[in-house]
Amino acid sequence: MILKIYYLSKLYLLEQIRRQVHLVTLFLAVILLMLPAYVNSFSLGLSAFERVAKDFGLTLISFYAVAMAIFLGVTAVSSDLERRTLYPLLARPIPRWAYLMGKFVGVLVVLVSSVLVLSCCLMLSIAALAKFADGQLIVVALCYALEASVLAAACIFFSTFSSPPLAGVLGVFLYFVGGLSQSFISFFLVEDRESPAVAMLARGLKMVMPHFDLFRVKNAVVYTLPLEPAYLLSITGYALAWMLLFVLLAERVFARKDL
Amino acid sequence: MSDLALEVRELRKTYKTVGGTQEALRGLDLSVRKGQVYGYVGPNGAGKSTSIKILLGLVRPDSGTALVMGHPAGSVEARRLLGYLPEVAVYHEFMGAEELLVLHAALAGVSASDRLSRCRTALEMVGLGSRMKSRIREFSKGMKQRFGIAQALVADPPLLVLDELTSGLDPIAQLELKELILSLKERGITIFFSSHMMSEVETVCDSIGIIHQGKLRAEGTLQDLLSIENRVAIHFRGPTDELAELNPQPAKAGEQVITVEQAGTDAALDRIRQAGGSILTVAPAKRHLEDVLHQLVTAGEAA
Amino acid sequence: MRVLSLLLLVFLFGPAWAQPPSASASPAEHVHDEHCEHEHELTEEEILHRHHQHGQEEVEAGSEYTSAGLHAQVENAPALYKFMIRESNSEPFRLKGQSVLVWRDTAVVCALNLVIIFWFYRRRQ
Repeated sequence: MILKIYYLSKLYLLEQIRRQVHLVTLFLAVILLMLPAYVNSFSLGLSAFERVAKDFGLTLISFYAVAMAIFLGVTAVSSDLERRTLYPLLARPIPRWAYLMGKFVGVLVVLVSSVLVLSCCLMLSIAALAKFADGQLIVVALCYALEASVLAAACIFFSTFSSPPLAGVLGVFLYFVGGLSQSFISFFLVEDRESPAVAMLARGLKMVMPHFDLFRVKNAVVYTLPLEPAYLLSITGYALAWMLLFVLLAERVFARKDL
Repeated sequence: MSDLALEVRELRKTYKTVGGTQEALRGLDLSVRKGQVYGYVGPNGAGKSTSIKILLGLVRPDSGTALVMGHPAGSVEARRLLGYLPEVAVYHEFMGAEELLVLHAALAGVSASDRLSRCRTALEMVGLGSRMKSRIREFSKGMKQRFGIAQALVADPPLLVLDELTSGLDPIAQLELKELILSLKERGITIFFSSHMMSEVETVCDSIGIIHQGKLRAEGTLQDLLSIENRVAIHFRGPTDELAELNPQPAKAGEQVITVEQAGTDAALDRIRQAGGSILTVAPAKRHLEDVLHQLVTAGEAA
Repeated sequence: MRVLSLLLLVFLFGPAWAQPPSASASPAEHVHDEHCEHEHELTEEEILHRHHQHGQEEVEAGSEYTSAGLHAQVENAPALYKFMIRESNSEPFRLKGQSVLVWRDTAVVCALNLVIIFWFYRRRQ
């Protein structure tokens, strides 16, 4: 069965490559390669230049990863269904969960590889000017890839029971509410508001959603603070648990769906 | 071991629609023997696609049973034994024909050492041997349909389910596909074949099932369904006004045809000769499948 | 099994819901608090002061990439700006020692996964 999942992922990857999705990645890579030189042209001084370049570069990578996760997650199954390429595939002796896993693994590979490429570009271009390669940049970018992978799994789940536009909206909602930091909720909804109901609702929603803010460790690299391996390991476990949950939920819905 | 390739009993399916429900299948019964070419005909919306999707496990029935080569429809074992050509044959257009077929063979469980040879054999069988490396998007509609059959054949299944095989194809492509079906039949493959092109069903199928409003209205061999018991058709040329009482109907190029009870054949022949007409053929009366279908549909709607 | 799933959810999330918002200890804040037990809770003024110091060098170097230049306006600044300053300063601290709490959340999600898998296989059989 693992082999069949591999073949389905391969089909998905070939589809993405030949649809030239990677051109968007390449376009962003070029921007990231030029960004440090552009920032440096403002003569900010070395430490500030590095900080700004890392901050902007990582923010760009994070936006890219989130946008790709929502797009790829929403379209992974629904495009097969719309184009009817799903039927000959599901007429093969493969269970539906294997089909979903094949798609999800394909999405993961696209996300992680493109984030990896982009973060390497950023690291190299900063290193060319600062004469120091900060490997932590890649680690931070991979944390964004983890965040995006959880979001993509959620979008695949949403797309199993709703139309692609609605699944996209749900994905965006999940990303924003799940991504609210606890301090944001405390600051705006608890400290500054008198209505406990609003605060309860915000906390409640946040509680049952993935805490995307845990993956945002950009400041560690911007301010050159150490990242604990234990923390990185814990958020990896956390992301994997959420991915599994969304894939299981997606499978439960998809297995009962009339196609 | 049953000699039935497909066995469907009391299959029911109701879809929820906006503002109500729609009964797609209302107790469908169907039996297809191994080695048969079975034509599954019916008007649009009769329940053909729903029943085929149930056989493939794409749709879950509300009640009833469906067995594919003795295995529950939709199970992995059942799907291992069938090849499927979808109604609208859409494939991953960016892939090469051989490349996609190899992936399909892998998903169908064909061993790695056999994959390439199976793919080439299947593509050659459907006449795409010279276009193995071409991308699917470069194919014409007929070629895509033939690729679809190659895709269905790649795992060498004992049962083929072909949904609307020749829809939208030109007459030459239709003829080629009919020949292909006949050659597959000679190899002993069971073919379950849905269509609303009556002429191709008549020429290719051994057995026919007619579905209307989610129920099988008639089933049997072509002979059973098309012949009209105890009636004879007489084709002749000659005056029609004098033979008005026999109710002649125009046939091809100036010919007339009358249908009479077998016992009255001699009298009818004498009457035509007396009126100065010349007899062309005398044969058992037959209907066209269109007429059978029309009659069943009208009867079903009246009921 | 559905009841069991629901009970598990209530058990895991119930205490957090039941607490009044001001008393609820979310994972991130919890860490923040734990951390601050060892150092001390940074007041908003301290944070702003720290931020100011932090940005001073950059201001001297002519940097515009600092909020220190805007520090003078902070008295009258909107809530979002105050929040952004506080947030950007507290972010690195939040990471420290938080892994235990992340593992706790992970365990909750894993438990949910197990419930779904168990439910799924039971229904299959």
